[in-house]
Amino acid sequence: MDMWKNIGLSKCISFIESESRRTSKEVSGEEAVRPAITISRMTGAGGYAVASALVDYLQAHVPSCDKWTVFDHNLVEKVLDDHHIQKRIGDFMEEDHKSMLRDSVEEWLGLHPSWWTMVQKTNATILRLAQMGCVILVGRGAMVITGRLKNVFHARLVGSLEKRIEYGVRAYGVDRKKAIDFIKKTDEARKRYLKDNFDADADDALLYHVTINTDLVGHDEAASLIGDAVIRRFNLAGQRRASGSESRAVQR
Amino acid sequence: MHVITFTRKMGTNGSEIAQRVAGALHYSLYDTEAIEATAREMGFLEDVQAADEKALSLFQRLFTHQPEVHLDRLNSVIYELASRGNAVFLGRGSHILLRPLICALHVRVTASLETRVHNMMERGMEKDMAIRALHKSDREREAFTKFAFGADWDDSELYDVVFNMDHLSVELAVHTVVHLARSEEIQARSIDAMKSLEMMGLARRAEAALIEAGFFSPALSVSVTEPGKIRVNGVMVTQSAKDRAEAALKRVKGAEFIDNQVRLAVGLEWPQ
Repeated sequence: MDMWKNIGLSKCISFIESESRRTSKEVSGEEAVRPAITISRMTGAGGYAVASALVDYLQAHVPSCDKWTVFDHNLVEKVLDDHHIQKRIGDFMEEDHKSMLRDSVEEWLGLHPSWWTMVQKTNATILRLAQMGCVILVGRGAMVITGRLKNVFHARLVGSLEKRIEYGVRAYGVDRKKAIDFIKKTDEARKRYLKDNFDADADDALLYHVTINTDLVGHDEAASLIGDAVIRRFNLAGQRRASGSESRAVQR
Repeated sequence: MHVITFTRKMGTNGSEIAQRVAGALHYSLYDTEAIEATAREMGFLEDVQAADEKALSLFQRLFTHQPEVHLDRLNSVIYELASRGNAVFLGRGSHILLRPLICALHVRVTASLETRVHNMMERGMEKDMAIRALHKSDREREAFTKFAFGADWDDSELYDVVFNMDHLSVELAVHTVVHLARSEEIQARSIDAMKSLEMMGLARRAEAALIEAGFFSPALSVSVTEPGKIRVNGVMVTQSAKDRAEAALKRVKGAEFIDNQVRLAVGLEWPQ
């Protein structure tokens, strides 16, 4: 499986363009619920692979929901675009921030908006994308930001360190030591992002509808599990064989 | 041969989910009652009732070996039941005991305190009483898991799937587990698990038998190298002690051959 085939900026742009063409009736809420999914993941637990497989699963089983689109790294690009901010600031918006002092100095020098401003803009973008529906939002505290939206399903992917190292070595072709360093550094950064910005703990099972351990449950299986739960939860089963715009009617 | 374990917080409807999954898959459900019935058949009922997912007193933990005997026997009952195949287990640390078996699927059911209180009140319990019962149950199960297995009850990595029942229906949870259990990936797991289970169960019964016969020494170790064959290694000071250990092992259910590798320490005496 090519885990990147459903992930990329071009797909996100295409999604946003098609959303802008939706009719006012559709946008005003007369249209039925369009679900969204958030995926929180431990590094190396297969976040991208599961998200990509999930797009295939949902596309195959709920064709009425147009195109499912994954937003992960490209979320930052979307934020920058939305808020007319220079692209190079994307580097600054990694899922971590190390120095408040550096942030303040750079903000004062006019190099970029403050970290807090950027986080707020990212949150606003995530919320808007989730409201549009048919999106899979990976990371950046999306499960906390969209926690009150009724159309969003939250999944978390976990795994033992050993299995995640194996996956990192296999999927990214790095040596074991590099994989360990990367996993530990990224896990810590993500935990810090959640703690600092939302006072939340990524390991809290109550933040998600379902938590899946990908040590034994494979990526395709995890995608099918999430997809099936979403179809049942939002009662999308009736749409499985439908097609075209009429089939957008989702039972509440 | 497939096994599904359920670990649930009180008030999450986890028992109902387990029952319905067992029904949908036509698997045997091993809840407290069924586990105790098997324990009775094996002559371990008192041990299993003693190891009832409750925290032990400090006295019990520090000054007696009885908890280890109870746990070994509880473990051997779980292994015996799992070896019969196609089973759903409810609690009793089964998710940790059966973790080495890749044919087992481990499910955790949790929910916020508010949801759990609400569920308990729907069953007719007063709110204050429900809160007290939930806190007590959480404390006891958490302490039991810590004492018996050195594990954190809330660690998501111990489970394959964790459901938060705050916004999920019982039907959805049941369907999801059944869907997963029937998947090709999970179906492909099992194979040699049955043999492994029998051997793990025999090893636990042998350890309990040695402790009960008075052999607490950490210098003694028991292993089951093939079905029915118990090997005991270590050092003892007298031939009669070595013989008594072997006799105790011969009485263990399922023991067919004792490979007594215990060495005698010549000239060594117990301190007076």
